Amino acid sequence: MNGLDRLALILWMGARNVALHKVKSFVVGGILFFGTLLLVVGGSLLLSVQDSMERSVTSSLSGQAQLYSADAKDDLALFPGGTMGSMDIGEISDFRGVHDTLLAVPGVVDVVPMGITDAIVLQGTELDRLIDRLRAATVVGDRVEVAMLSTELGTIAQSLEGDIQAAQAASADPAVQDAEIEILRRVGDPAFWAGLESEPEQALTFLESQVAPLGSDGKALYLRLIGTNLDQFEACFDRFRVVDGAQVPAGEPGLLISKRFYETQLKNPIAQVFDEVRQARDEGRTIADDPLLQEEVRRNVQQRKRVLFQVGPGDVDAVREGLMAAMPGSSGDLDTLLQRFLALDDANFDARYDTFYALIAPRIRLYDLPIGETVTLRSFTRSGYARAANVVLHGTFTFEGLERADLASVNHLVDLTTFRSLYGSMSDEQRAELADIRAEAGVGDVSRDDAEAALFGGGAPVVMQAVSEPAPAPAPAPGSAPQPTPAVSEAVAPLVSEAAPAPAPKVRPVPAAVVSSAEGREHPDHTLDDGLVLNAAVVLDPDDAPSLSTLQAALDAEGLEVQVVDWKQAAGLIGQLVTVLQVVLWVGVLVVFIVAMAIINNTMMMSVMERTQEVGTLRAIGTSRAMVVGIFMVETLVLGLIAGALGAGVGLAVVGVLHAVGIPAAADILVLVFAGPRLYPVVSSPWVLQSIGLVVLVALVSALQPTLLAARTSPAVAMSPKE
Amino acid sequence: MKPIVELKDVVKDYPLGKVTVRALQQVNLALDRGEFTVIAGPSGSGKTTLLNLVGGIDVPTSGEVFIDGRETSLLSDGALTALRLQKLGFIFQSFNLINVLDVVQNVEFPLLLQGGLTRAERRARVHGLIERVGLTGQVRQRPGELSGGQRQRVAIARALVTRPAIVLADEPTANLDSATGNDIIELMREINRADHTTFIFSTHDPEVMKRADRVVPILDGRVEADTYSRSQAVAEER
Repeated sequence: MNGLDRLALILWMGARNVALHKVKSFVVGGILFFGTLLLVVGGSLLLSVQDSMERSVTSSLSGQAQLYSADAKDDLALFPGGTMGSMDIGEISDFRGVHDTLLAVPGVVDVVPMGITDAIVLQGTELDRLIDRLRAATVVGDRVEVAMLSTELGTIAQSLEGDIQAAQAASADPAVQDAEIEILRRVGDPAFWAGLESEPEQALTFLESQVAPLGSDGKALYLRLIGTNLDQFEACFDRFRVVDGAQVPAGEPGLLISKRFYETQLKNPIAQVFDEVRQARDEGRTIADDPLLQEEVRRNVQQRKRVLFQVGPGDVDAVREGLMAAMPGSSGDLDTLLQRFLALDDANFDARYDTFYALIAPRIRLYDLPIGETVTLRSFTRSGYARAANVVLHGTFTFEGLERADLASVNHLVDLTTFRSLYGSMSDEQRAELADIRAEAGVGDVSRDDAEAALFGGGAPVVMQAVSEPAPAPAPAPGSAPQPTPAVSEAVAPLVSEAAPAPAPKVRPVPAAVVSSAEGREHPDHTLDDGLVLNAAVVLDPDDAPSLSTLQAALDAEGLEVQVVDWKQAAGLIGQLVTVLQVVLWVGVLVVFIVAMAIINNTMMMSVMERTQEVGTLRAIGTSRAMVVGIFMVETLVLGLIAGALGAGVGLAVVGVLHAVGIPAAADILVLVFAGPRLYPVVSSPWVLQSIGLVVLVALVSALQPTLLAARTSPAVAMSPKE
Repeated sequence: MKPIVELKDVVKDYPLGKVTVRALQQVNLALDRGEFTVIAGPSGSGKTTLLNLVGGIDVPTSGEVFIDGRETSLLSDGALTALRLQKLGFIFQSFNLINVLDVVQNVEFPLLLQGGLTRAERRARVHGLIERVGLTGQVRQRPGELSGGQRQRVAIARALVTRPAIVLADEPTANLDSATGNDIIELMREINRADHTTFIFSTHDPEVMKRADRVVPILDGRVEADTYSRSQAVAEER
C-alpha cells in the first residue's frame, strides 16, 4: 500500500510540478509535442508512401521479388533513373529450372519471365511519307492520287521555301540556302511534274535524294522494352490494363506502348496542346490568367504546319469548309484559317477543341505510330551487332493509378520472341538460315581444344568427309559445345560468317549431331519457358508469402545461380526513393531530437538550479538520491506523456484530414510514389504508441543528466545560508 | 543518561575559493534527551554548521559526531539519509514546504518515505498533528495560500510526524514577526514538554533564547561555556 501511495504521491507531484513550472513545461512540452507530431505525421506519410509504392511497383511490373543472374554486372533496375544507359544483368541460364523450383515453394503464385532491352524506332518525316505515297501511286498509275500528292508536295515546297528564306537572314553562308531554295523551286515548277510522267524514276529520285532531306528532321524514338509472356503478364499484374487497341494475342509477336508515353511523345503536338489546355481548364486555370498556357497557344499557332502538311490533298477542302463554318466570316487558304483557328482563348476553346477532334484529328496522323501499324524495332546486341524486328503495335497500356506517372511509362511491353531476337538470341528460322549460309560457304566451328588439329594437322579423311557430307538443313548452330551464352554465340557467329571465304579444306565442319546436342543444352527448344530470360518477376500469395530468403534458399539448393531481390531493389530509382525518403525522415527526426535534447537538457538544468532549495529540503528530511531522481524523472515522464499524447492527437487529426482530402501528387514522380493521383495516408496504432514512447524516451534521456546532478544537491542547501 | 547528541573534538573546514575557512574549532558538546536547547550566536559564528553536523546533514572534517549513539562520519550518504529520515525532524528558517503539495500531503510526505504504516494510521497521525498545530481548517490548502506562521506550523507538523528523537530548527522565527515567532516557540515548547521531544534551535533572537532550557553560545567557531543554565531558563519562565 505504501509503495502505491508513494507512487501516487510522486505522480501527483510530477503533474503538479508540470503545472507549476509553466515556462519549463511549455518549452520542453512544446518540443515534445512537435516531436510527436512530426513522428506521427512523418511516419504515417512514410509508411503510406512505402505501402503505396510497394503496391505500385509490385502490382505493375516487379512482383514481390525479382530474379536475375547471380553474377550480373549491373544491378537490375526496372525503372531506370536518369540515364538510359543499358544495364548488363546477365541471363538466367535455366529459367525452366528456376520456374519449377520456385513454383514448388508454397505461396509462390507464378514466375513471369522477362527481358529488358532498348530499341529504336526510326520515323520518317511527313515529306518522306508523301514521297513514298507518290512512288506507290506512280507505280500503280493512280493518276488522281498522283495529282493530289503533287499539289500537296508543291504546297509544302512553297512553305519550306518561306522557312528557308527566313533562316537565310541569320545564316553565315547564304549560298547553302540559295541552293536549297533552288531545289524547292524546281518542285514548284509544273515542268517538274510533267517530267514525273515522262521520266518517273528520275523525278522520284530527285524528290527522295534532294527534297526529302530539306524536311524537318525525322525522329528516332527510343523505347525501353520489357519482353515477357504478355498473357501471363496480364494475368499476374492486376494493375495492367490495355487502353487503346487490344492485348497481343497469345503466342504472337506484338508491341504494347505505354499510354502516357503514347500521348506525350507520339501524339501530334498540336493535339497535345489542345489536351493540355483542356486539362488545365478542367483544373480551374484559364488561358487569360496563365502565361504558360498563353505561351503554349502562341507556339501552337507557329507550328501549325504540323497539321497543315498532314491534311491530305483530298481533305483540304473539307477542312477549309469546316473551319470557315466554325469561324463565321473567315476566309483564305488553309494556312490562314489554321492560324486563326489555333489562336485559342477561354471563350472559343471548348468549341474549337470539339472542332479539332471532329474535323481535323481524323484527317491527320494523330499519332506517329498508329495502332495496328507494323513498327520496325532496331537494337544493338551487347556485342554490337544491329538487330531489327518487325512487330505490330497492338495497343497502348497503362498501370491503373499510375496513368499520370512518367516514370512508370518508360517501359513498353513486347512479346518474348521479339525481345529475344532484338537482344540477340536467334529464332529457329534464323538459326536454319545461318546454317544454310554456312553449309554453302563450307564454314564450320572450331573449338579451341582441337583448333590446331582442325586447322593445320587434321587428318585428310575428316576433310574429305566434310566436303562430301554437307550438314543437314536445320542443324548446325553458332557456337561450339562449351559456349556458355547466346551473347557469345552472337559474337562468334558473324565472325565465323565473315571468315567464310577462308579456304574450305582447312576447316572441319562439326558433325551435325554434336552441334544439336550442344545446342540442346542451351536452348532445348524455343517454347516460351525455355528460351532466353534475363530476369523474372515472382508473384507471391499475399496471405501466405514466403520470405525472399526462403526463395533464395530453394534456388541455391538446386544449384541455380540466380539472385532474389525485393521490389525495392529491383525497382531501381523508385526503390531508392523509398530509402531516400526514409533517410530524410530519420535524419530530420534525428536533427529535431538532437536539438530537442539540447534544449530540454538546458531547460531542465535551469529548472533544477532554480529548485535546489526544494531538492535540499527533500534531501534534508530524508529523501534518498534515488527518490529525488525518481521524482524528477516522473515529472519528465508525466510531461512527456501529456505532450506526446497531445502531439499524437494533433498528428492523428492532421493525418485524418490528409486522409479525407488526399495529398495531391503535385509532381509526376509523386503519382508513382503515391500509387495514384492522390495519397491517402493512414496511420498504424503501434506507430502512434511507438512515437509517444520514443518522444518520452528522448525526454527522459535528456533529463537524466540534470536530474542526476539534482540528486547530488547537498541537504545543507535547505538550511540558512552558510555563515 | 547517555546524551542523544555528542560532539567530540569536532573541527569543520569549508573551502572558500582558494582558502579554507575553519567554521568550527575543537567543539565538544553533549546534548541530553528531552532538552530544549538553543545554539546562539551572531551571523558567521558557526551556528548553522554546528546544526548541520548535529542533524546529520554534514559530517565533520575531524572529530566525531554521535547521533543517538551512531557516529555520522562512518555512514554512507544513504545511511545518513536514512538516519535523518528515522531520527530527525527539520524546521527551516524559510519553511521549505513542498509547494505543489497541500498541508496534509506535506505533513504526510516523510511517513511515505519511511513506509511501514497503513493509510489509516498515517491519516490519524497526520490529522492529529494538524489539529495540534491548529490548522484543521487549512488541510487542503497549499503553502502558497498560507501565512508565514501557518507555514511554519505545517513545517512543525511535518518535522514531528515521524516521531523523531530530535527536532532541529534552523532559525525558525527569523522570517516571522515577533508575535507569530513567539507563538511558534510556544508551540514547540509545549510539544517538548508534553512529548519530551528533544529540540535543538539555532537563533540569535534573545527572546527565543530566554525560552530555552539551555543556551549554547557559539562565537568564531568555538563553543563557549553555557551562559544560561537550564535551571535559570526554567526558573525565569516560571
